[in-house]
Amino acid sequence: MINMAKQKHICGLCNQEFESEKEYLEHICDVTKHTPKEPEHFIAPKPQKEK
Amino acid sequence: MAATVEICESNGAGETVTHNISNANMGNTDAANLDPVAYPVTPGNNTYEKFQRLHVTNMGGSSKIDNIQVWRSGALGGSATHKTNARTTSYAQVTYATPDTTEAAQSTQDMPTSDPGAANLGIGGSLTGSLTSAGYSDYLNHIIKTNAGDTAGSTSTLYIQYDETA
Repeated sequence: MINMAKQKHICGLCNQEFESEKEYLEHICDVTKHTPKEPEHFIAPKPQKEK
Repeated sequence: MAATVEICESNGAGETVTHNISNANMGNTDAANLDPVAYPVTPGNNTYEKFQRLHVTNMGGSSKIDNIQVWRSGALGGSATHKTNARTTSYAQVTYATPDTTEAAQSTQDMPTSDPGAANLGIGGSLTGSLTSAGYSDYLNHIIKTNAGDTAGSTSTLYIQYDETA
């Protein structure tokens, strides 16, 4: 069955949910501090050492 | 600067797109980045089908993305088969539908186990299609179909390769 419902968009890194692709592409990811339009968004940040 | 590209997976009845997925694990649920230990497939059953796309979020000064080639390395358990719509001839794009344990009608091909050497996933419904601005490839639909005598669990790698023109 073909879907007619509205799409949702989830950032696979910070798990934030967006109502549109535009919102997803313009968000600043909590994990990378970059938007999905920037290559830095796809470079996983180094885990911080526990003290 | 090179283009910025991610792989996205669509799930659910309303099509929830999970961007920049971290794996293509397959199991007995319709979810992105699923835990196959939590959702194992009992031998004799199918996994849930996957609907995944290549997504260019920024051309980064490049002029074209095209020639998408998809394949898998690594053996499946027992006599399981891995079916897909990816094919180098007589290609037809798949329309998204709520994922279930039955593959799309176009997914009659065995997933290649080496680089197919030519585009086998289209853009805009054509193997010669291209992206010249941000956008998506066609859906890659694939599913693993197991047999009762198969060994549960297998690990393989899915490759998605494309050409980028400066």
